Amino acid sequence: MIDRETESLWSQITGEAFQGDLTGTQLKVYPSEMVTWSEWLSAHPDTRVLFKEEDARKEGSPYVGYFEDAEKQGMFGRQVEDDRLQPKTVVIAVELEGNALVFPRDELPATGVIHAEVGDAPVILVRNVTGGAAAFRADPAGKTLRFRLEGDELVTEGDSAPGPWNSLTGQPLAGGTALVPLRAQTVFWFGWVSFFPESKLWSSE
Amino acid sequence: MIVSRATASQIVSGSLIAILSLILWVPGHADAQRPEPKTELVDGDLLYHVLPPDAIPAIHDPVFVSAEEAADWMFDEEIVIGVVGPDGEARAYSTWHLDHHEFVNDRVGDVPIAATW
Repeated sequence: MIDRETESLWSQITGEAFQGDLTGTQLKVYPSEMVTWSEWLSAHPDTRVLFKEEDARKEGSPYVGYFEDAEKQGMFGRQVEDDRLQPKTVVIAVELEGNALVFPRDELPATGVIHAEVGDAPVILVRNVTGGAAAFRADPAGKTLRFRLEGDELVTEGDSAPGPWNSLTGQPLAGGTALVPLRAQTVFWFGWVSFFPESKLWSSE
Repeated sequence: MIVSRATASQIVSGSLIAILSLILWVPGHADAQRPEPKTELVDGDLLYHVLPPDAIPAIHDPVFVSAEEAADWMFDEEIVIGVVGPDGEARAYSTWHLDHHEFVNDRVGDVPIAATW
């Protein structure tokens, strides 16, 4: 990525500038998820969608072949050999302060909350009703909480339990502290592990 | 470190925020003949300059429509990047569409964002 103001170069994977005046600056993450249009629309019937100009309305993507071909790995081949997963495995990668935890997408439950740790920090990965995923720190006010999903809301247990929060944005729905969103990127394993070779792998077992 | 291409993103100083939802990208015509890309070393990693800035036109003034208005050109299986704004408004960026642009310089509430694919 390049910005017009300083022409610094940025990595899409790390969100950090690595060349130019802004070198070392880290972009903040705005929570998002990647799902099909039908999944998104059924969860958000009032959604707006970016207007497509006439010549961008054709069905399909020119990169379909790339997605389907396990042998095609980046423009210049694989940079790091790590055979813990097949290179083109689609993963949800969660990163915090240089530590990374990787969730193979096919091993995730259809919906629900996974409690885990990235480095020493308690985190949750939320598989939303859309099929998308979002990640947050699990200690919004300094205390680690146990969460569960109710529709598109994150709730905690107990009478005076904090919450609820929107399960995609982490915004509180009845006051209180917002959840801190973490980067939860849908990526190919080979690409992610080239940037974060020390990544830990989450397993459902 | 590999940067597969460079496009424009508008970054508002003081509030640097990006949506980082992507799958490592490779051009559909990767097999086509083309000159060797210029390379340089950055911190010991090879950086490839594949395309000049603005070779793929970013969107700077995004326009959004309702699902009903988009019914003729949005497809069920089309992968989108979905966000929800502070007021609860949901917004979708089609990755098929972003294949043509790769960046949308946008704003959610008061927050300037770059949606990238």
